[in-house]
Amino acid sequence: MISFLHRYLPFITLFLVTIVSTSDYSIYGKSLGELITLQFIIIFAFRLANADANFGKGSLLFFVSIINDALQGLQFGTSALLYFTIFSVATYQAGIKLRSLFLAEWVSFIFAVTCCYIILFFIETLFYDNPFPFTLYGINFACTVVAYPIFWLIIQKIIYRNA
Amino acid sequence: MYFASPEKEGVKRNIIIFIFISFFLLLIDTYDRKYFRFIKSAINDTIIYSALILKYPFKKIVSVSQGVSEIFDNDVDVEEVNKLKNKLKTLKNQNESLNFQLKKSQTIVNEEQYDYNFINSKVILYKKNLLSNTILLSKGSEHGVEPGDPVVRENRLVGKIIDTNFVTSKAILLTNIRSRIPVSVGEKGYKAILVGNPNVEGGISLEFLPKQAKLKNGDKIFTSSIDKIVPPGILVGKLKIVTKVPQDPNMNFGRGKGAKPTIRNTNIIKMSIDLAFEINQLDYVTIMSLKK
Repeated sequence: MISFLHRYLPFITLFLVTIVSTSDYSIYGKSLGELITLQFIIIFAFRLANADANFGKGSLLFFVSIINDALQGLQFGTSALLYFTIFSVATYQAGIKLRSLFLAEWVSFIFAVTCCYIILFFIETLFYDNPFPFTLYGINFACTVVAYPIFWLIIQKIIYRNA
Repeated sequence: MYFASPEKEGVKRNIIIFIFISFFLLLIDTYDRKYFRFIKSAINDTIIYSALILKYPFKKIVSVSQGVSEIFDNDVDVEEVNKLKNKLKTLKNQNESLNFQLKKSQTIVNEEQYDYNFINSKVILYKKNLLSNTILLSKGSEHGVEPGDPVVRENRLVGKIIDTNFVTSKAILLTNIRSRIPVSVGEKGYKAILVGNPNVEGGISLEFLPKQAKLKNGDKIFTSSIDKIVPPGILVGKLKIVTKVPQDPNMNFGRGKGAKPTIRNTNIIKMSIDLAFEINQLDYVTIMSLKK
């Protein structure tokens, strides 16, 4: 049971965050979903904290991304492209690291999130034909990057401390 | 030291495969609206209703905790409820009579009359985050809902349908960046376009207001009909103008984003729009589907 949880906790967490809408909670008039993209943090932090957290070799990650697309009313494949960008950077980082170095992980997280926003910019302008709300994305980027250390502490130092 | 294990290699291979699949799905979903649409509608409906079932326990926990705090609130006044019921009846009768008079006057002045089906729907999910600002409704193409249909609540515009599945549909709110609604503003009915704008207060702004528009605080905004998309006369909201000194009634507004005042109106601090609905009221809405 414990090994099952150890292996599938990242997937279960990501799945629950996707299902239980973060729009229900707001801070200073902005919904939590607008401020922080929790999915990015969960994928990245869990992948680095736990070598077994490969989300069913990517298949479970794809499954969650389709659920997210359906619930958000997005074109299928949008979330998957973003999730796999984060996941691939985290996998690379997990491969080259010798020991857990927070600063290195944080910098690579910032790089991964930046890549996601660039992809999102192209998707929004090419596929959705939408104007790109730079301010909204800027706030989200800053809050997501700032929130990462908190989740890193919770995941690495509390959940997987004795793992 | 890093050693490539078969499992790690498998993950890398899968990442590449899934990125290709995602890109392929995105292309199909964007350009093939004919065949893929049926599959997508079925997948969307299944996922949405499954998610609702899974979310139910979480919602219950939240409602129980709210219920506990409400126990200590004052009891509902029965007399007050009865008064409100009577008032509702009176208003319904007044509404019927006014509608009758309106139709009569429209016939006299030879104005186009639109006939709509009113489809009541439950808001099953509200998503406001980086990727979307939408509501998911419990009625879809099977119930006659079509993309473009306006969504109202108590005759106040909320948004419009942008996509339909078989038994669910997706609507964008007025505050969504993709929302564009033709409106008429103030007593003189200046034509403008109401645009979702996350960068301004209230998340909405007026564009293409005529240069000579004279507006005052509290002026109401109603929909104006273009190509039968949105029926005219639905309340959208009202103007909120903050000035340094008591407002000049002949204030002019220039053409531009957010209806910025011209240089002459140096007393204006800001202008925003108060929407007629609140997002936390959106439990049930009505979809106005144009009769064929």
